[in-house]
Amino acid sequence: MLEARNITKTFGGLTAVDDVSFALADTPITGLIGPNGSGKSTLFHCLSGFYGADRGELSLAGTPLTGLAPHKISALGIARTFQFARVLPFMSVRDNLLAVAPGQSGERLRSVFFAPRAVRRQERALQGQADAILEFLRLDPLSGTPAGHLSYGQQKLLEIGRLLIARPKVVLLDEPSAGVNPALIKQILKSIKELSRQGLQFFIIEHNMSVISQLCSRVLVMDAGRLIFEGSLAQAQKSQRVIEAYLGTGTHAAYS
Amino acid sequence: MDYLLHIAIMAVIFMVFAASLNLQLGVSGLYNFGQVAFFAIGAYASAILSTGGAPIGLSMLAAIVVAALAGLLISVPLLRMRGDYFGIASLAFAEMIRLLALNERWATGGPMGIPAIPRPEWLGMAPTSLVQFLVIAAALAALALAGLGVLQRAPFGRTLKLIREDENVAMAFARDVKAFKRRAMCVSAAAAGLAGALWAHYLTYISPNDFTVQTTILLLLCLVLGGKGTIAGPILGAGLVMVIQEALRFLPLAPELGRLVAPIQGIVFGAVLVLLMIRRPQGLIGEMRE
Ligand SMILES: Nc1ncnc2c1ncn2[C@@H]1O[C@H](COP(=O)(O)OP(=O)(O)OP(=O)(O)O)[C@@H](O)[C@H]1O
Ligand SMILES: [Mg+2]
Repeated sequence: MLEARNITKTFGGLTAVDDVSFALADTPITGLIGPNGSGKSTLFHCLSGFYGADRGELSLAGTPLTGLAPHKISALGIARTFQFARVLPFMSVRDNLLAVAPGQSGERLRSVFFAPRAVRRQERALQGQADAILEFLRLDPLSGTPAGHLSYGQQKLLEIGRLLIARPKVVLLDEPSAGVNPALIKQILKSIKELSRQGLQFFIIEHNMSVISQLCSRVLVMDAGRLIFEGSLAQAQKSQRVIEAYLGTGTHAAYS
Repeated sequence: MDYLLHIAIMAVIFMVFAASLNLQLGVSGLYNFGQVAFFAIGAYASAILSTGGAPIGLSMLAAIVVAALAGLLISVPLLRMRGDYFGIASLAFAEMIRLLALNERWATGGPMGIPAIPRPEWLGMAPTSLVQFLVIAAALAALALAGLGVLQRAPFGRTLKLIREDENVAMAFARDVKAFKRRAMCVSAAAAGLAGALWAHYLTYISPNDFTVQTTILLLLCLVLGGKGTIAGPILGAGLVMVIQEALRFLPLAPELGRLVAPIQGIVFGAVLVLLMIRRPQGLIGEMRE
């Protein structure tokens, strides 16, 4: 349902994303791999509106997204994480979830003063949801702890929790397992699979091939800003073009 | 006795003023160094209207509305700027408002200011009664502080903190960052306008000199001392700062040493700040323990 056509993003003379087109179609979890600096994160920034693409169009289930501000794209159902975990360190773990819950009437001044009971009712329901999510992620013993005190892996897990409460349609994950210990990676994988079963669609940047092979039925491969392969991971690993990209014998056409 | 009442009234007014700035600086992370502008706008609006014959209640209400509108208007250019630039521009805005008051004599009396601003007599006592003014000011302040506290505790305040901590995350979760900041500035300006109006009716005389960067610094001290980002912090901070400031005014100094009062205030506040930065940089009430 997420579709990109001819997305191009340049920084000065460097073409970080070069005429990339793809559609996520019905694949529940799609992987995005490629060597360092191949433009994966930049593509995510373009998809989520954080970077305005120089060229190209975006749409979600037919709704055009091209040129929309990040909060508008997010409101249409695309959520994302960042390559480095970004929790709110001074807020409690539970408040980290509540703060991003969608559609809170208590965010409107009028409701705060003139419909306080509805606001409280919604808040209680959200708290229940947040507690259930923390239990599912096994973060419940840390519910009241400032998120800054969590380990890096736990922070990445908490970011998944934020997606759970936000209930988007499509999730862009930028390296969910990077810097995370194996036990927590398992927990993160379990959460992604569970969310996928609930109908969320994932697009995941990863360098960890074991994570990719466990999750993704389909991968896209980028090199030097270009999309060079689409298909299964097994096929990708046999593709001459992909092997060249990883071994560094590919031509670096991005540097003009 | 009058002297205690005076301190109490000043403290109550500054509690509202400090809490108003806290919504921006403490909760939203908007480093507005020109909050005194909204205080001035509230003071002048209520003073001009009430000396022109309007009822005091109506004048104060108008002052709040005018200050809120000013907050909304100025938020448009200010919110185009980020971080340091926002702070500098807000400082410039406050100077502009002060210069406007200095030069538009037909409305503000220019450097002579506005004298004979009436005091409310809503409780049937003489206008000179400080008890009466304290009760009125405290009631209005309690309303304003309660309103700000409710907002801060509500999801609205939580979203402002989300924006303060990480704008990108806020945007990634569908929050219109500018719209939230605009609302925070508008509410904050309204509360500062109320504080300014109370101040004008209490002192019965205002002039552009009351609204210099000096006042902004005093206000920042209240916030930093009490603990920004909390609900009780600005209230505690404003109370302490006003008690210290006004108490120093009544030091048993020989009359010829009277000119030393202002420098002594400066030294004491400077020392308080230094001590605070060393011992408790988060202020007396730290945010995470809330
Ligand atoms: N804001 C920016 N300004 C200038 N150049 C940038 C910017 N962001 C990314 N780049 C450059 O664009 C290229 C692609 O970077 P990007 O971060 O998208 O790579 P990546 O595939 O995510 O790499 P990694 O796997 O290391 O995270 C790199 O050469 C990078 O230096
Ligand atoms: Mg990257």
